[in-house]
Amino acid sequence: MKLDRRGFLKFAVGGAIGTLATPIPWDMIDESAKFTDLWAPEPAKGPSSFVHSTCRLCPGGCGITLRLVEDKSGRDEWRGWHHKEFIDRRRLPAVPLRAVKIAGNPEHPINQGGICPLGAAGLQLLYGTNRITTPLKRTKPRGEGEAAWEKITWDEALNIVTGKLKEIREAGNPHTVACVLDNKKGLTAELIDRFFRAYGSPNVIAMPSQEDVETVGLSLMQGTGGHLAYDMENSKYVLSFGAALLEGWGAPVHNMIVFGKWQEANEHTLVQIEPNCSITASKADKWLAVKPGTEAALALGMANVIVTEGLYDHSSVARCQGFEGFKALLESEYDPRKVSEITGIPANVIANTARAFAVTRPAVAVYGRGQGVMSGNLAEFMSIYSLNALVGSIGAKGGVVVQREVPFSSWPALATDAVAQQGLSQPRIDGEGGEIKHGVSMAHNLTAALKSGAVNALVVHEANPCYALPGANKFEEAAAKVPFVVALTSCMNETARSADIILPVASYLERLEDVTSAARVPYASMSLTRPVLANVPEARHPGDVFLTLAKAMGGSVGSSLPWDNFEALLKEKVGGIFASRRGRIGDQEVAMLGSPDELWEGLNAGKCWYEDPVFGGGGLTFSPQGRTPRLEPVSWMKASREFPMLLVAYENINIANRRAVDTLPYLTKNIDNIVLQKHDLLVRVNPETAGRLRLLEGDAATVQCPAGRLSVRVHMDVGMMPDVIGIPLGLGHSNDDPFLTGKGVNAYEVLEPELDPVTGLAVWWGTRAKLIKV
Amino acid sequence: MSEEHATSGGREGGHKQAGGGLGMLAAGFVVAIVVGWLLYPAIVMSSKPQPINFNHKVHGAEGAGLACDGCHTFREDGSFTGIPRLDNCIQCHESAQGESPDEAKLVEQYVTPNKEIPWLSYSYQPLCVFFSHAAHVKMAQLECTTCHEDMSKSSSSPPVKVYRISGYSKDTMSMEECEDCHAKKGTSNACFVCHK
Amino acid sequence: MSEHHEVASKEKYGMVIDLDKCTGCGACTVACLSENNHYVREDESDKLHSVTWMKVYKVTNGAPFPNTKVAFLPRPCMHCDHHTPCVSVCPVMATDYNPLTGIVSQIYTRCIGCRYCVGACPYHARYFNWWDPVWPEGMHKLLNPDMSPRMRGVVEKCSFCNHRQQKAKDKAYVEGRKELKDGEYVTACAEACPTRAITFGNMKDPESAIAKLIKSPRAFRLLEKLGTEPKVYYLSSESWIRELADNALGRKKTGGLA
Repeated sequence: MKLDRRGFLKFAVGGAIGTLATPIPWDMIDESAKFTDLWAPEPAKGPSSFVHSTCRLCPGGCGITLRLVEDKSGRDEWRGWHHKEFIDRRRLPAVPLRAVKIAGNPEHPINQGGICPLGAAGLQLLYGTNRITTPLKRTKPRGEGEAAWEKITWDEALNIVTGKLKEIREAGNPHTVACVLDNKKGLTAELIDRFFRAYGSPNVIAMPSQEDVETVGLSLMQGTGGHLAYDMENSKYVLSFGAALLEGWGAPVHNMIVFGKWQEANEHTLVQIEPNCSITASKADKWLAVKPGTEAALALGMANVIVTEGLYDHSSVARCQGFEGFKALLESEYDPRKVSEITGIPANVIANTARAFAVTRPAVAVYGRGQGVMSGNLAEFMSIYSLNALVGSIGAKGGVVVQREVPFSSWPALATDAVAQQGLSQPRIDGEGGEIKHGVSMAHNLTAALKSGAVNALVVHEANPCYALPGANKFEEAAAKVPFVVALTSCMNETARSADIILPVASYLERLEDVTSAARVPYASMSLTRPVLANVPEARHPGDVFLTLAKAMGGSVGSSLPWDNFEALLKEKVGGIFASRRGRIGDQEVAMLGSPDELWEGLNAGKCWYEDPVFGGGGLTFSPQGRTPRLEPVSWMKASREFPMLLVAYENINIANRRAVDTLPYLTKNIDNIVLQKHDLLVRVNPETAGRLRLLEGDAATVQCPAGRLSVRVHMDVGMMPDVIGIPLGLGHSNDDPFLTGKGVNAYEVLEPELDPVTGLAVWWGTRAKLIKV
Repeated sequence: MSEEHATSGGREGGHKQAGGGLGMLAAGFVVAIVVGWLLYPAIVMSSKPQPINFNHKVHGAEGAGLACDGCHTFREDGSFTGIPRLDNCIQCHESAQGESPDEAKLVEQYVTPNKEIPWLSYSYQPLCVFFSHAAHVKMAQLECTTCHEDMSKSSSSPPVKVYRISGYSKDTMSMEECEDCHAKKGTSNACFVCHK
Repeated sequence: MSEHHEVASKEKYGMVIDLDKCTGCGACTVACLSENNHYVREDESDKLHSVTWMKVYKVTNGAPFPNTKVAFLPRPCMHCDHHTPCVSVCPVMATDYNPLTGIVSQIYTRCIGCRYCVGACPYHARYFNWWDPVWPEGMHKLLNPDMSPRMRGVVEKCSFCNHRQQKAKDKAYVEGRKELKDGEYVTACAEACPTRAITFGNMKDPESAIAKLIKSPRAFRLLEKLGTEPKVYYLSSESWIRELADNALGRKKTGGLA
């Protein structure tokens, strides 16, 4: 039969009709829909479990709950894929697990179930793209083009580090080794400090913090050490001198939980004193837009009103020393009218606020600036802190207290040999303490020390001074002069890039560690981060790294650090809490527990140990050792023709700033487009000021400062004080993170610290500037 | 009409054409049916054997006396375990109980090295679907066999037919089936009842 | 349209956001991103295209320094109860109103990406997926198994974490209960909020926290004059915020987006 055109068409039509009677078309529609389902990666598909741990991304110490899902995917089964998952090296679950969610732990006293954006994004650190997966060794000398790395084994890496440290020690120069870490809280930091002291170096230096000036102030005025904390939950009137209470200061979630309770109770007043309409200022009941840097004068002006009107707490003042002198100072120098001229706050506002603060009990004055990284001078702290003595809030409920120490068992005596003793007798390279020594770190002096060639080896533990030290770019240059640099870090950052050896440390979700006393929270607390899973199997606990190094070093170093691993040390230390019978774990009194193991198990189940503060009226010395509370202006507060404006740094809870972690990808969705647009950072300028400079919204401009210039764009912000430029900290990274690198500029580069004449500490929060349209 | 017919027919020999045409139509139809029902499944689907030939019959009422929910259970959080895990098997098969080569394979390859059996699911739903066993079994009191084949009589595990494109099983229940039953029982067919 | 709402259901879920408590920290946004399997692009500064189901808007009263005030307004999907604008325009029924829960759905595998709903939504709560979902190597491991990731070319929006309702129901069923207790089903944003500004629950349950809060004199909804009956309520004691919420810009200049 001949097939002609018509016949073919009929065959085709018949075929088409027939096809409709088969599963083909319906199947294909179905299949195409299911196929698009495959365009996205598939979540794990096993059963869920929940684990409690502690967040360590900021000093807030929130309890977290992780949701884990067995890494078993339906599709994968069909395709017969085999998971090349980590092998349990640390008694981790045998079934591969994925962590899929971090939420706040409702049982944890600090955050009571709440969580901040950074904490909620923590899994992006665990699964981050710039995790360091093996120890790395630099292949080209520093300064010769792009950094290149060679993967080495832990044995090789530790051999190199031990070799170098031994060589320096044998030459009798242990004090030329320095270690930089973020802060000295917690057992890992204490262990590192102990390692270096046994080695013979006094140079374990923490990054700058507001707490440094507080430590000195507290020691002078009250003769005590420790960390200041505020019982804001019970305070009826909170006078905050610039602390970003609702934007990341102290324990951010704890503060926000308290703020939520204030709003419900409707019997608390929050007064925020700072130059710009920050979030805290806006949420406060009253915002006093003080001229930057004059907060001390305002505090003393208020003190003047309280003292002259006799509104102060007489019994509290009776416990204080030097009140008469203080009173005379207030009367002669800080009359509200005069203070009004200095601060820009009307005299009647000063007086009314002072009266309300004095008559509402309990009330508390909070010293602070931003999230707690930037710092003012000692005189400023003393001025603000004095207000607490006037209203009877020192050590009182609803006032300011010194956090009690967690009663860990004490460290055994340090074994030091002759070399160590010789090294420890050398002065600290950061010139710790100016006129008065209080053992605080002076990281701002590191740049000069490194430049001078006084440092033969630098160990940086989970800190990023090449990015986050005021004058950061200068630190990087100086670090290039150090013959040997080791960085312990879980992610690639600016400092690791200028190291010779990078040691990958486990992230906070992969290691067992104490989180000791959440910042600024009135009660002492301790809970554990737990090794929930090991996404980077090669990463090690930093405590274990130093214990291994100590063994390899031998001698007094080895005998000072005899523990097999960090867990053994931690368990021993926790024994001290049990022995003290102090505090509670969860809802149980420690004194009621039968054995230290019960406490250990509780902590390992994610429960928090905490202990209420002991309240009691305290006093202080208003003018200890001749240091008086006063306004001590910093140089950049003075306008000059060359630099008519003031550049002030501010912090944003969605831009991670300096801590062990950088801004995580989820947070970039939260960064407003009035802060960052594509690669451009926007500075905040009052529209009036911008208009005078003929700048419009989004215009490109240059911020010219004494220490350098930054290319930015302009956002007109009505909440910004005229003639002040606001710049966020935390942008402008060059850390190989596709979500961060090259976005915005690093304000740390132009912020130059000024030295406090009394303490020698860095005062830094702003600089002179000129805004130039380009 | 007829004139038109005559014209066209006259030109190309209409009579013969008409009959052959129907034949072609039918031929096309038949070819399509054959392709669609016989060839097509072989092309788009692959057949995957189960790792172990599981005998439901010897485990069920006629053998060990287990009911469906003896192994296919609910978790405390309300989710359904589906295919049991090795833990369940180990409860009885720590070591071989009989002579069956499949049991020997179970003990040798999975129980001893404590390795999960990579079972293939016959009815795995796409990502956008939320199927609640709890709603159907606990609330609506449906029998397993309403949707699943009655496995209690089956002594072998047939291979799973899997679409090559999407990777889903041939037995994955379609939305049409769900909707029909919901409509019949007066249950809501709102999207978010079954989609996620 | 509204007749199908009259089904005798004991549940109607809603949300109350206390703007006096909200500090704009964005924990709700991140909790939502992580709960609902959002990917992140290298540049997220183009906010028109940056997909955020729970978006925190910064609003200001516009007053000059130093009388400026800012406030934050978290905006999920309003799950409109009446003439749900997106549902009424969808040509393929990829979005519907669930009379059992009051939740407005979005079915990604059904959506054809025509974006009528994006235009119809008065609250900018809907987003179109312009890009293939891409997670950096290894980061896909944090995907939530309860939520389907979306493919390129479809519209997506807040679902009131409907999957959490499904899971909570399953748990109740296994325990032999039909109804959920207050607090058993909450959205990821409400769970995360550190100031406890977000309350989520069943508005038909007179004992629930939300049923009490929506009766507050501080309560209002966005663009109430449109008559869409949003199920997201806001609480604020600031009159300028309340005026902004009803788009009072034309009548009286009180401020706007910062």
